[in-house]
Amino acid sequence: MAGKKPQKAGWTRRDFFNWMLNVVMGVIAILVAIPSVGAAITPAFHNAAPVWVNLGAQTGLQQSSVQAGTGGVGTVVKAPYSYVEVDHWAKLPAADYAYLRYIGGSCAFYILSPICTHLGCHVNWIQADNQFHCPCHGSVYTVDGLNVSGPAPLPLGVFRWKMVGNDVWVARESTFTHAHQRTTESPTEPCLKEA
Amino acid sequence: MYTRIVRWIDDRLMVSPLWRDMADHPVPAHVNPSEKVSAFVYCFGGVTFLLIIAQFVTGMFLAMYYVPDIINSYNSTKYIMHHVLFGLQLLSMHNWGSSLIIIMVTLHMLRIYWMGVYKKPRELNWIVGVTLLLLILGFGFTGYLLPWDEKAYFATQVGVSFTKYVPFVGPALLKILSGGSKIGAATLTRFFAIHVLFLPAMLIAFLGLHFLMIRRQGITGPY
Ligand code: HEM
Ligand code: FES
Repeated sequence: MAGKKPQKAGWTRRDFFNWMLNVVMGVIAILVAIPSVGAAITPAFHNAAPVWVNLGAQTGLQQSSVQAGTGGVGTVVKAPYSYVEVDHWAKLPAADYAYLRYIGGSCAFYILSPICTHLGCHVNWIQADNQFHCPCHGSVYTVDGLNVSGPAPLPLGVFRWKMVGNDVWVARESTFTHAHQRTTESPTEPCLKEA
Repeated sequence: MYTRIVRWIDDRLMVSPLWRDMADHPVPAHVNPSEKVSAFVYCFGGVTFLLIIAQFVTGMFLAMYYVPDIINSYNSTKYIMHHVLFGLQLLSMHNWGSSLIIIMVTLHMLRIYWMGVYKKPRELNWIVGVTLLLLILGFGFTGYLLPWDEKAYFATQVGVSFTKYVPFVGPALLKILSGGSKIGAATLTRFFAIHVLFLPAMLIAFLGLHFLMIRRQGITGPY
């Protein structure tokens, strides 16, 4: 005890350094976590702009829809398209298709996404039933893309489209269905033609 | 020679006792299939572990050729299958092994469940076990995408879509899991990183916990 003060029970030198060590380690952990978590969750904050893709000449599309239908009324036809897909750092030639129907009037075309709103398979157009059938879990959609049976929770997406010269272009969006997603089962066909 | 090497190491590090502790640990009769054939159910966990070691080995060698990139991954997988000596066998072992592990881990879990040994004091080991199960399924899910063929692509598309249904954060989760707004270049690199770096690290940590707890508490029974 000579000349030495008894150790205080409360806040000792050892406690202080222990505390400092914890603070420093905590700060290091936070500094490591910020960029790590940031890198992992980046995609959540990133919204890709729509990519306009060319379906081809309006007259050809109109003709094939009318020819596939009966009595001059157009029905659903596959409208394939190809484009250059910019996927992060990769640029790749890509191809997909839309389901196009000539409906006449001022709207002219009604263009549906083939992506099933259940889990994303491509649906098949079944002309005999006038319906879309999903091969994955059996969802059924009407000719207008309204979900009428199976697990699909929403109608098929509808493409926004516009004329560029004589060609029909659709907006491939970054949503799940690549197209405008209807959230209600409105029986009216939305006209998504843009000037 | 062998004894001299062991003695040389033990002089410095004294590792023999650690090894003896594991190697001399008696296997109780009721857990030993050579004493009682029906005890084979106690082997399911160990078999799972052996299969995991095999996956680690075959996976490391596959990574010598595999390229996690949307342009090359399919071709590098094909290259392994057709041009690497025993490459097809290597890939097949990894492929079949993944299914076998899921079967064995399920059987192991069923033994735990049927014998009721998840009860006190082994609740924590049950929780660690469920984590191991999820990690194993995570390996299967992320590994399935890596060949980047059509089956892989669309199976993953369906798989990640489940996250859409999570309340509130579903859409954000979907994007985080797929690395973007669709299954693409960033999904593949992300899944590859998870498959070969994140999950193995976590698996090793949780296997360590699992085995420590088993040693600490001893095996259950006989009844
Ligand atoms: C990566 C997968 C796993 C491995 C490698 C593994 C390995 C093992 C091993 C070697 C044992 C010794 C006894 C035996 O083999 O039956 C064991 C025991 C045990 N495991 Fe697992 N296990 C795994 C997953 C699981 C899962 C999914 C559960 C349950 C959810 C679980 C729960 C337990 C429990 C509670 C014990 C103690 C059993 C007793 O004392 O009788 N394990 N594990
Ligand atoms: S993806 Fe179409 S029904 Fe499931």
